[in-house]
Amino acid sequence: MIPDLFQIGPSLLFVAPLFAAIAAFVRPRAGAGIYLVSAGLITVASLALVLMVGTLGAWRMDLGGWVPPLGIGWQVDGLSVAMLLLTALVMGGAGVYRVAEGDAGHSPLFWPLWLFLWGGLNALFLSADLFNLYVTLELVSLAAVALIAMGGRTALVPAWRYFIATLLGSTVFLMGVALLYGQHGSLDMRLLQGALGPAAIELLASLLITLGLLLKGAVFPLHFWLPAAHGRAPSAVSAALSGVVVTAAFYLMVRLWFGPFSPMLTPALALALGAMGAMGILWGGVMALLQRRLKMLIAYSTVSQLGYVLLVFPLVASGILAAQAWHGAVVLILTHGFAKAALFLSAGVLIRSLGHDRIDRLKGPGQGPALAWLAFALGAVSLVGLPPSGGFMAKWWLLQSALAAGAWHWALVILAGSLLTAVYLFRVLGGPTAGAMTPSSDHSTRAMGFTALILALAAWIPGFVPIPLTGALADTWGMP
Amino acid sequence: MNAVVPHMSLDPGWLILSLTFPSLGLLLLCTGIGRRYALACLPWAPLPALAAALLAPPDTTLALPDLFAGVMFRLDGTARAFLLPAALLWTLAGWYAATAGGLRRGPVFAGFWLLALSGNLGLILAGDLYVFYIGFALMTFAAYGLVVHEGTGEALRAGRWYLAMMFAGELCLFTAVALVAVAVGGGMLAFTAVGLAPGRELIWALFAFGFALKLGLAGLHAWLPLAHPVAPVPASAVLSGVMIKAGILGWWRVTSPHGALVSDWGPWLMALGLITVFYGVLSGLNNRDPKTVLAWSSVSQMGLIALLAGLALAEPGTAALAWMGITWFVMHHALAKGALFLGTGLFQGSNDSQRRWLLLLLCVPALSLAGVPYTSGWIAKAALDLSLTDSGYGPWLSAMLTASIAGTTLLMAHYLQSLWRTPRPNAPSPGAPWLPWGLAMLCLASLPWTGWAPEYIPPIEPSPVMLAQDLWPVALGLALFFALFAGRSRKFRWPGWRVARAFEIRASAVWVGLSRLEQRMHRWATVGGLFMVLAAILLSAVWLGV
Amino acid sequence: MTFYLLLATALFLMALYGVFASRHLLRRILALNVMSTAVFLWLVTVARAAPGLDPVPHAMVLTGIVVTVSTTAVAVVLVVRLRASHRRHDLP
Repeated sequence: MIPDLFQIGPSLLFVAPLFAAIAAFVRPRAGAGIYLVSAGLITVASLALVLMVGTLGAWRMDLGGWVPPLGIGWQVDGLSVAMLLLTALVMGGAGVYRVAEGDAGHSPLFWPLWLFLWGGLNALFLSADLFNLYVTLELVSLAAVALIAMGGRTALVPAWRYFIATLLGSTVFLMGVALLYGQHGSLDMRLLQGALGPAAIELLASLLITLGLLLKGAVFPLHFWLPAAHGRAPSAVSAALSGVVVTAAFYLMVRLWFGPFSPMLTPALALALGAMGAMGILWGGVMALLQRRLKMLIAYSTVSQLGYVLLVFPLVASGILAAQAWHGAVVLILTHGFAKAALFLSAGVLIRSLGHDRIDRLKGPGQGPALAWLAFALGAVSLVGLPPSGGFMAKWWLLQSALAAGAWHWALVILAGSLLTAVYLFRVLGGPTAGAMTPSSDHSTRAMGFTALILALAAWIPGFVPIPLTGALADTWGMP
Repeated sequence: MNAVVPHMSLDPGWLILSLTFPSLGLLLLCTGIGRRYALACLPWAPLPALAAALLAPPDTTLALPDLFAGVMFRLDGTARAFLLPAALLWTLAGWYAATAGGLRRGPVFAGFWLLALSGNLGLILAGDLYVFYIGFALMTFAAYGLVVHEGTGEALRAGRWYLAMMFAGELCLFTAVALVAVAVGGGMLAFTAVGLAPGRELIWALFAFGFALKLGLAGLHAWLPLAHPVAPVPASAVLSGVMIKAGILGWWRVTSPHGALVSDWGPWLMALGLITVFYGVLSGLNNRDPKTVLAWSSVSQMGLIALLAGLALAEPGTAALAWMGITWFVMHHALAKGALFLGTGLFQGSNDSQRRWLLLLLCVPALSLAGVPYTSGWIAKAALDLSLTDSGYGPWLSAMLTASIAGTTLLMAHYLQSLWRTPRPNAPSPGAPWLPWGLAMLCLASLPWTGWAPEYIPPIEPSPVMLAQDLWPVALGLALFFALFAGRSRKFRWPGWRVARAFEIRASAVWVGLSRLEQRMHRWATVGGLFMVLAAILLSAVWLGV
Repeated sequence: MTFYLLLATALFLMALYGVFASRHLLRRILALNVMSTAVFLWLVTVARAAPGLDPVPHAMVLTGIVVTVSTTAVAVVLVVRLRASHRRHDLP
């Protein structure tokens, strides 16, 4: 029986949202109901995979019984189930938020696209095949663009810019994949592992793939599309984009550079990637400080926070406390996803009840529903990285690794990023806590606030339930 | 590595109860009925901790080896010296908050209060550095909610200062603890591990900065006289009476096990402490709001504690005596400041005849703080004097101590005068929490005489000579007050003491320029150029590496 | 053989320039299409070069064409929407 479960579990994660999307397309009126049922199913399946990897270890599966290089392989390991968990909670939570928001101004295409996005993300985190990754990246982009465009007239141009950037990224990625295939006749990551060497064409291929991912991950200085796209989209979509969709690019960079590309990860390249991350942390933080709209501030904060993930390259390359750095980056992706989703969702609640998101008119948590402010504050504390939140654990590990390597410049960047985060979030939270706090009288606002609160609390979990540095859940090939 | 892993203890129940009780209060706040009686929870939350401080067997330990790299709570002698005053004052101030009335938005206040309490108890009972650090951060940032509770412009400004400076301190402590963790390389972060770390001087410097910020030592004190007075009265009492001392506990924890290694830091700390003592007094005389005067007096008193801690480092021989002085100071200052702040709150809400009595009674903690013979303050200062004499620093330090007694007397007289001048309230306050205040007064007055707190039985036999010796500085302070300040308002002018007021982020030319640059980076043509540059950089990085 | 690879490379670089330099919305879409075509050309050439006939690149190209058609469709819909709401066919 158990071997079947190994096959069925991962497949369900892709098939269930796809069929649900078709069902929601055919019956738009039942969209929310179909979503809730399938979301429950997918979340349970994701949790089951986490448990299985946690207890039984990682495994691979070949779709349809075809063995690579001809077939397509999926891998289920610590890193991918962590991302699946992030996806399940953020997509599930933001979807519930959308259900609570009600049908007003609601396009019938929302639920099919939303489920499509979820399925694409699940497939992306499971794929072990480079071409399959390209296809899933395109799936995700298509769904994401259409969802952004639902933000109304002001969202059209950001959606367009995002689409061009992400298509360009995918095509550059695909060129790299084509180069690799020409050399090796295989695109399975496990088969490529150890087969790649520092030959010119392979270097070029890895470079093209990385450039495509940098564009898709909005890494400084290629972050031009992100703030407007994430800031203008509907709040639930912003939460999904900032929490999961962008991080997919970072996931792939970590996966590839510590997997098949690891022989080519030279110290100079690690330094270059780390420097881009560091500049992103600082530039994104300063830009967040200068924003006038709450959602734009949160979007710039994404540019800043995800820069931390790139610090993993120089820190791991230094070879001291590499596991700490690696775990710090993974926990950062997770806690950032939860906290950022909570921030966007609570911003959505505030916009709904106050009618605007201008920071100078918010004047602190005295106005609007108390629940949304509580969620915002909890998410913000985790984003800053104050103990004992989950964000603290991430920065704690990254900082330890930087200090152990004697890399004071990275340590200073980590601390300065925390400081900047604290300052720009304090701009929002520092106003008077007194005022006309409304105890969110209507049902839907309360439900929306609750989903935001639950996501914010999820960002605190790694602070209390430590993710083991060793052990089954850390079972990821390619981990240093 | 874990040099101090103790035998598994007899009775960790004390610690479990003490640590979980405030969280139970927080859980209660999640229910509707808990929110209605939110403030009524406050006096109960620290009671198990109070009982543990009085009754628990020595070295009670709670080890949770499976949590993180191993987490330990421990009630050793050091912790007990801080736990008793903390639990006592948290109880009394919570009682005050529950009965005073007039506190708006009770549940929010109670939430921040309980969080800060949990943090404070956690850091006191912490058996290792990691737990201490987390408790410290929790307490510090939860207290922000107490500082800005009134929501006035003044409170928000104070809150900004508080948060900015506390965050700077937090980053220092974060780095220091991470450095220790790196040095330990996994496993529990014992307090003793600091001395083993390479680069320990830097670690101590970071700790010193973070803890000095919390203590409000001169130069790092800007937040303290702003933040302590703007909070509601019971919160001011715990901020000034208890939380401030987390700094000295932390410093003692990370330095005292290392003896001679840290002795270089002693003289610097002593000098800073001395400066702080007088700076606090002189600045306090500049203010006429009684709560602000009390906050400055806290700055000054923390200077004395820093002096003691520095002495213990500089002259390891006097460490035991200095430690006794610190415990006395912690206990006595907590009770005296608590009584003074709560009394100030009572005074502001009472009518004329009550005011006369109150003022008279408030002379007791005021004089005790000044160190009048037969009060708790006198014994604290006697311990300080004794360790100074022992250390061979010469008579000039004792003279400074005498001057500080005169200064504190002057400041306290100034406080009583400013209190007397506060305008009467328009409406009588809804509640009159006389009992908690009275209890604080009773504990303070009885401290040198009774054995209710076993470790605080006076160690010194008073003699007539000592009496005369210690009375004249007080008389001098009073004389100075009547000569210079009584009836008049006089102000010293510090040259440029408000230099760093401009903390607000304003749109300056730099910001505008950065925004323009960002706009330019959004153009497709620029993006194309950046994309190619990035490709070139990565390509050369890859090529050079090979 | 080498000729086709060089052609693919040249097409790719030209398209890359076109994406950044062109102002008209449709031109940008076309540039991206040319870019994918360059990749397909590369893949087909690689398949041809393999001993025997490698079916995998052909499968990839077929999938890629499907993906490109759908992305182009979505992009064109966006262009139509943009024209309707902004009355412009060039955007910064």
